[in-house]
This record gives sequence, structure tokens and C-alpha cells, in this order.
Amino acid sequence: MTRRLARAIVASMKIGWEIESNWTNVPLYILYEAVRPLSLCILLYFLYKVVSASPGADPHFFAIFIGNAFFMIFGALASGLSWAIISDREHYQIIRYVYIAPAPFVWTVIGRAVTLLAVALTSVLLTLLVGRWPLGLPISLGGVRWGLLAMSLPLGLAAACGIGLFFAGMLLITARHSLLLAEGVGGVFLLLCGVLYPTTYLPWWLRPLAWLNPLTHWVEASRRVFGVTGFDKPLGALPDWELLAILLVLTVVYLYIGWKSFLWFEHRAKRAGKIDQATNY
Amino acid sequence: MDFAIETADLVRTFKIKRGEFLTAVDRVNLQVKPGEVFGLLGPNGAGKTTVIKILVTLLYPTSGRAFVAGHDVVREAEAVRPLINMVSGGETSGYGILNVRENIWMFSQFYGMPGKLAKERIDRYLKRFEMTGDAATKVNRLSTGMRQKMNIIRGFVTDPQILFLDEPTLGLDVHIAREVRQYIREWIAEKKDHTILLTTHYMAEAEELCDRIAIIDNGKLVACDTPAALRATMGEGGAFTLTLSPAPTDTTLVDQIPDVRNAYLAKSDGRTTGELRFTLNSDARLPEIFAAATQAGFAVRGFSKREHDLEDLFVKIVGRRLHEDE
Amino acid sequence: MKMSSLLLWLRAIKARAYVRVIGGNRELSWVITEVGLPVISLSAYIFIYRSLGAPRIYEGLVVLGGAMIPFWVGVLWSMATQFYWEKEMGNLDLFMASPMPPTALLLGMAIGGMFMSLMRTLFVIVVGVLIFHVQLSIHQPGLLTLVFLLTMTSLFSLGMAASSAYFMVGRVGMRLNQILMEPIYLLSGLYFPVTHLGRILVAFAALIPLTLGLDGVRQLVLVGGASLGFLSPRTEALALAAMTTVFTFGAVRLMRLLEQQGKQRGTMSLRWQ
Repeated sequence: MTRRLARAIVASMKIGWEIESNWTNVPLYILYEAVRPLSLCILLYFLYKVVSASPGADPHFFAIFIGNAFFMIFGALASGLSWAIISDREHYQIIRYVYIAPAPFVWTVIGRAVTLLAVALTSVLLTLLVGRWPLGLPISLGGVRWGLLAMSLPLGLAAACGIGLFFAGMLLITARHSLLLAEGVGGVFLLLCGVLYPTTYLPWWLRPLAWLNPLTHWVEASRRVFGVTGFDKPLGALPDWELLAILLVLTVVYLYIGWKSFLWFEHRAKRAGKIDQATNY
Repeated sequence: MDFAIETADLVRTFKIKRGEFLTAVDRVNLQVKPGEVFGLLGPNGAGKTTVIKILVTLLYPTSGRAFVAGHDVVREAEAVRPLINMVSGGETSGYGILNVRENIWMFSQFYGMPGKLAKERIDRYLKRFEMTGDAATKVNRLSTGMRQKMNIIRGFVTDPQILFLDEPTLGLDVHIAREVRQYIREWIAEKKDHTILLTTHYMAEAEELCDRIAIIDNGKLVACDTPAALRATMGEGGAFTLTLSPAPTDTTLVDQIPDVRNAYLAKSDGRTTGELRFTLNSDARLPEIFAAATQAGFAVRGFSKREHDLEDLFVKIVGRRLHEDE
Repeated sequence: MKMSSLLLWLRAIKARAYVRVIGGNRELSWVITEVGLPVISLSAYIFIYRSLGAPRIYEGLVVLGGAMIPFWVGVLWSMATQFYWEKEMGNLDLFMASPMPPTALLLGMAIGGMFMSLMRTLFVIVVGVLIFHVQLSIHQPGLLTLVFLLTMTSLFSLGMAASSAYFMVGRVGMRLNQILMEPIYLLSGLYFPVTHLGRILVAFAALIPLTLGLDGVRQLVLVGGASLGFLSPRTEALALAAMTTVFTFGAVRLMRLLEQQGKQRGTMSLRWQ
């Protein structure tokens, strides 16, 4: 059983990579994957120019840039997973065959997610490079807290997978144009996770949602990896170990919810006959 | 207009790889008269669909010419289109989010049908195909058979002068396929001057519906005539089955007899009896075959003869059966 | 054009637009995807401006920018990729074999798409204004209507041209769409005054109808909006009219080219390219 699952995940990763990348060569594909996060970072740069003549020298902008660079991993995962579901169902119309294969469907989706995460990490590196040179941000290898990165990154990626699973499941029961929903999931979490502004700027009733979100804590941890502190006052007050402990607990909870809800949506889709239903309009 | 459809030395090649070309249609000459149901019969990949695509103005020929209702399909495509319609087997056309009535209506508007006339015809066809109750069902909720019935209605609703049916019963169950064939017969009987070009790889369908049949293989037209005339070219013989005991292990028994063709071993219980099948152009060789069997130590336990059909003709001309898996 | 041809043309436009308007509204999830998400997205940018202590006018600027998202989304996903989807669904060969002029297909898609996007845009504006109390002041309604209409027509004529161009490049077009979202948000100044891009970049960005249209609408709708503008709304209206003409002309030419190439190469119904 374990071997079969491992094989399903590896096969999904390979297929995911082929489907995603075989329309072009590898360097161009990686550049393509980086265009979106880069554009968003540059957009923030111009937006910041409203209040600052040289955003590159502003620690507040640095905090936004780092938060956004890491947060884009989640954006790529949410939109990539949704694409995988929609294109397999509506475009290639192979979802029914993937579905009836012996490996549980959820594992094949996770396999695709792993590929997406690997590509997204490459985009983060490119974004950090652009932040370092054209934008002049204080990013250096020596300044990176590698230990904290090694602990926070896997947790952040797992949390992103949990949330991604939830939305991928949701797509099983919705029409083709809900692809935009998945594209927009990134926007919703961008709003909630204190990426672009401290969580204290959210209306009071939205703040608990931000603090109960593992991505918020992951983004804060990622900032600390690059030496940025004090951007978000309530989160900034937490010591590293406490921040990581909260991140761990929330990640486990979100993974569990993502997993269970995916199975629930799958069940609903089967009951409604929507697993392989094309929207076509 | 002498012919509803006419092709002259029609050729279409496709580039497969650099420097490598596939000839899908190879110097095909067709002449289909108005009022005919004309069948194009051939295995998968024979070039049937390519011929249709050229005739419905979707594809240019590489060389040669094609005319539909007297109009050149390349130079006068705009004149051809209002006169034709096309239905393909297994097609997934339309929009899943629209319902059956809306989908058919949409296509009718692409042919410029006035709204009232379109509504009347859609109602009539829905009733004829027992789909009135499904008129408001979204297309993505239809079964394959129902969806194909909707496509058939889409093809007929514009009352085309020439209708192209590309494997229209592909994948349909026996009941729906029969219903579709029945309607094709009704339609052509009612519209005397209308024409249907039907492609199929079902022999029985071609025999049942077509006034004339052209057999196409590897892009080449290898025969063209009425079903009866085509069968007649096979002579008075037929397909024979000889049940022998003990079961024969090969076909050498009949291979040595002149005129025997396409011999093969069929059913066998492994020990006591086995079937040997072959075709003959004349019954005159039968005594010789019985004598050879007895001489070789076989007892003849059974014998049957079936008149030649198009399948036999296909084997005779092309050298293999139409459905190799059968 | 003969009367029967005109009727065919009009009927075909109506039928294709019907799919967009009726089909697009049948699944109510559009309220979340095409109104809810832009509102959420623009909320994020408003909170950034608040966190930076930027003047209130920037919040109005963001609401109007966010309101234009359905247009750009419509152009990319409902226009540019449409022929590719039609082919994949098996519709394109039936459309091309019908007597309907290809321009009717393009216009039907565009008109239906414009109507849909307009509804969504108005929704986003109303929701944005209500939530964030943005102050709008319409002092030149005629010019505003003209600029807005020309923004729509230029965007959708760009979509018409893109639909044929995308068809020719196949699957790459879908990829192109995915990466064109954020860069265009950046270049068109969706969340900041486009003048911040600097002269060279803004000149380049002005080739995108969204940039000029948004800039013009902002100047004519926001209190103090004129101070953030790039060109005068009149000049922008002229440029948008020119773009509409060029893109429409290009769309018709590209469509003919697509048809010719499709027939020559046999790619009109070749799926999964």
C-alpha cells in the first residue's frame, strides 16, 4: 500500500511537471513561473512610491517584499492545483481515468502539489535576486537565519498544501469559471495574512482570522529569517519558539481540515455526478 | 447542377514530421447525385473524415477539386455553407451550460433561421426524437446517446440541401442507432432532392441506408456502386463454414483447392470438432473440398453457406477485414 | 450587404452573445469569482495605503482599478482563449462550416462579454464605494460615458484580435494568459497612478487600452483625480478610439488568416495541441 502510494505521488509529480512544462524549455518555464510574483513585487514597489521616494531603502518595504516573495508560493500552489483539476477535467478530460486508478485521488493531487511547490521555490529565489540587485534591498546569504528557515519553510509549505487541498476539492463541485476563484484565493489570503500590511490594519473582526491562519505566522517567520522584525507588533512580540509552535499547531489543524474537506468535496462531487463533468460555455 | 457532390482527383496530404508526409486522400473521384444517400465505407484512418472536411469547407485539398451543389469548396465556400450541415459521431459540440433547446437554437441562428421557424422546427424535431422532456436539460447532464440525438437534430434543423453524416451512430446503443437510421430514411424519402453523404465503418448501416457505396482504403477509392452491384461482383459463391472432426490444426486442407480464399480456423472445442471458414466465388468447387476432407481423415459434422456481403467484398478488395478485431 | 446576409449576421451575433449572457449567469458562482474576489483584492491594496498613511484619494483610485479587473479578466479568459476552447470543445469546425460570417462570432463573443463585464464592474464599484466610503464626483457625464465606452470597445476589440492570435499558438496562449494578469495590473497602474511608472514605462503602458481607460475614468470620477492623470481624458478618448479601430481591423485580418491557415494545415479541429 505504502509503495503504491509513493509510486502514485512520484508519478503525479512527473506528470504534473510534464504537463506544466513541456510546452517550452526549462529556463523559459522557470522564468514564466517567476513573472507573476516578480510583477507583484514590482507593483508593490511602485505603489510604495506614493509615500517614499526610494522604497529600496525603506525597512517597511523590505518587510512587505519578503512577505510577498514567500507568500507567492501559496498563490502558485492554489492556482496551480486548481489548474490541474480544471484542465484534467475540462480540457484533457482525463480526470475520470486518473480518478479510477488504484491510487487514491487525493494522493495524486498532492503529487501535483509537490511539483508546483518545487517550481514556486525557484520563483522565490529569482524574486529575492531581483530584490537584491535592481531594487537594492539588504538581502545577503550571511544575513539569513538558516535554522529558522529550515524549520519554518516545511511547515509553511505543508500549511499551503492543506489550504490548497481545500480549494482543489471545492473545484470538484464547481464550474469551469470557478478557476478564477482559485486564482483569487491568493488574493483572499493576501488580505488576511499580514503580507502587505500589519494585521493590526485589518478591521478588528478580521484579525482573529489572520492570527488563526498558519500562513500569517509563516510569513512572519520568513521575515525574521531575513532579519526583519517589528513589522507586525502583536506577532513581533512572540519569541521564535512560540511563533514556530503556533505555526506547527495551526499547520497540523489546516492539513487535517484540508484533507478531510477534500474527501468530503470528492464525495459530494461523486454524488452529484460532477467528477468528470465539463462546463463548456 | 448534375451532381450534389463531385470531386476530381482530390488529394490531401498532411505533414507529420519534417520531410515526412501522410497522404490521407489520394486522387479520389466521387460523383453523388441529388437525392442520393451515398456511403463512404472504410476502416479507421481510411480518409473518410478528411474527404468530409474538404467538402464542408473546413480543409483545403492539396490538389484536385471538389464541388458541393455545383460550387467549388475552395473558391466559393460562402456559397456552399448555407446549403450544408454536418453531424459527426461522438462530437461534443455546443455549450454544456446551455440547455438542449438553447443549443439547437444557437446553431440555427448561425444559419440565419428566423426565430419563429427555428422554434417550430426545434419543437417538431424534439418531439420526433422523443426529447421534448429533455428540452430544458443542460447539455452537460445528457447521456452520450441523448447528446448525439441532439446533434442529429442540430444537423437536420436547418434543412440542409446536402447533409454530411460522419459516423453518426458511433458509440450509440442499438436502440438509438436504429432510431437515427430510421429518421435518416424518413428524411431522405420526404426530401426527394436532398442528399446525404454518410461515412461509416458499419457494413450493415451502409447496406441499409445507402443507394450507392464507395469503399475507401488508405485514402484511395477502391470501389463504388450500389450495394447489390457490389455484392454481385463477388459471384454466386459465398462464405462457407465446414465443421470437421477431429478439429483441423491448419487450413492446408482447403488452401490447395483453387478459388478458395481467406481460409481461417474458427471455433474449435480443442479435441473433437473445429470450424474451417473460407470464401468461394462459385459453389462448383464444393464436391472437391468434401472429397479432400474425407481423404485427409476428417469427418464432416456440419456445413453452412452465407451469401456474400460487403464485408466479404471489402476483404476481397482490400485484403483484410474491415474490423480486424472481430 | 444583402438583407438576408445582414439578418444572418445579426442573428448569429445575438445567438453567440446569448451564450455569454445567459450561460455566464447560470452558474451563480460568478458573484464570488468576479465580484467578490476583485473586492477582496482591492481591499488588500486599500489596507496597504491605509498602513502607509496615504491620502484618501488613493482608496478611490484602488476601487476604480479593482472595478476594471472584470474587464481585463474578460478579455483574457473569455475572449483571447475562446477560439482555443471552442476548438477543444469541438465547436470551432461547426462554426466555421456554418454560413455565419466569422465577424459575427467575434462580435457576439465581444458584446456578450462586454455586457457581462459591465455588470460585474458596476457591482464592484457599488460594493467598493459602500464598504470604503469612496467619494465620487461625476462632473462631465458625457465625456465619462465616452471614455468608458471606448475603454470597453478597445479592450474587447483587443480580445477579438487576441482570440485568433492565441488560437494559432495553441496551448502557449493559455500560459501567456496566466502570466499576463499581474504584469498588466502593474503596467496599467491598476492600484497606483500610472504616472509613477516613469515616462518611458508609461509610454509603453499606454499601448494597453486598460491603462488609458482607467486613467481617464479616474480623472473624471475621483475628487482631485485630475491631479493624478497621465493625459487629458479627451486625448485618451481619441487614443482609445484609434485603438478600437486598429484592433478591430487586426481582429478581422487575423481571423481570416486563422481560417486560411487552419484549412491549409488541417489544424481547425486538431485537439490537444
